[in-house]
Amino acid sequence: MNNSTENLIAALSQDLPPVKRLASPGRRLAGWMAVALPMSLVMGALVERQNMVLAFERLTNARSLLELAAILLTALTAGYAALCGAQPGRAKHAWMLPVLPFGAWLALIGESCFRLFEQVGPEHFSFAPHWTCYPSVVATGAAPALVMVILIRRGMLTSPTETVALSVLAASALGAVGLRLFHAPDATALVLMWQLLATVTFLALSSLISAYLNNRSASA
Amino acid sequence: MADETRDAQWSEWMALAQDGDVVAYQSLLAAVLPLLRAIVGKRINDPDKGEDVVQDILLSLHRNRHTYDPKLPFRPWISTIAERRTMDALRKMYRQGAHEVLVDEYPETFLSDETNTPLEDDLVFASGDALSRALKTLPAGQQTAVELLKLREMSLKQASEVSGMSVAALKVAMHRALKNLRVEMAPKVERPKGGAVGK
Repeated sequence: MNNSTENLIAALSQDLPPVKRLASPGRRLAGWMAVALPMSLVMGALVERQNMVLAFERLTNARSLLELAAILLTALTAGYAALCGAQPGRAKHAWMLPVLPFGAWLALIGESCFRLFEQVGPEHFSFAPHWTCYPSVVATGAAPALVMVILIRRGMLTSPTETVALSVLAASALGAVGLRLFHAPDATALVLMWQLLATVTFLALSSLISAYLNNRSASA
Repeated sequence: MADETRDAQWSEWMALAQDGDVVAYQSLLAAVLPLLRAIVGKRINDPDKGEDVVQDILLSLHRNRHTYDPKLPFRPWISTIAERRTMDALRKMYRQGAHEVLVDEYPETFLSDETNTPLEDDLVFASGDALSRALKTLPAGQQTAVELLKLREMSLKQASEVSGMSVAALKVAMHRALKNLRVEMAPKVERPKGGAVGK
């Protein structure tokens, strides 16, 4: 054995404290849903409190329920896949899980856009930013993104790109549940785009703050 | 069948190590070394660089030992970490290679001959022998601090986790080590009177 490797093994084995094992992705996903979903819904309800009646109407509408189911399934499957990606040795093909529900969600959004296009015509159909939507996007998306960052950082990223992409999708989808319930305009491609953008911002900010705090405590 | 028995043994050792069993941990790290060297050796031919990567993998294994689930086989877990660290090392090598230029001779710095004639002491110093000798004269704690903080470029927090020394103790050891190294190596870099420094 190489001498310095032998020394390293001796140093690593010295005074070995017990560690708390990382829970399975399923259990962490349940924790994420239990904390982030209620927070997202409460924040959405607070920001859009004038639309509470609309939320109840949507809960009794078959098409809205179908869309909510697709969004929630996207959040669950993408969240599970992201948490698998943060634990080495877990199934490598978990990233394929959200393909079907996300596809269904996009198809429903596409159909909504098409109906809207037929109603208002090309001259009134626009992809310009709706700044009034942004507070709702931030309110519903913050908790899912922040809790996901905490969960991901507790593991180890062996495929960072895929894991971060799946985290963004999961957090956006969970935030979109509240948005789809409380926000007055129908969830169109534009709203989804804003949701993804907001989640990327949250994840980037959380990672930067967390890295800064880690460095500070290391050099303290 | 032998592979299954070995994997089961590794998995058991890792579970014990997660609970703080030093003997099981040492046995595990020694046992996985051939596997790690094989994974690294597939992509990195230089044995010295390869051994550095193997040591990086051991550090990653140590830092992330909480992520292993004893209900799952051990080999996919350690292989994933090893492959990831190997790819990181390769990326780093390619990045460094793109910014380095190999030269046969150092360019002249001044016209005077003395400034471009390496002294014997400089050669010894440049070879790293003097530094290695000076490092060996340091007390064990200071050697650990230099190795982890300077040679392995760990953060204070990581070095503290690995060595078991507190951050404050590491800082003190590092400070004293540098002071001792300066004293130990001072005669090697002194120039004869009248000789200009050319580097």
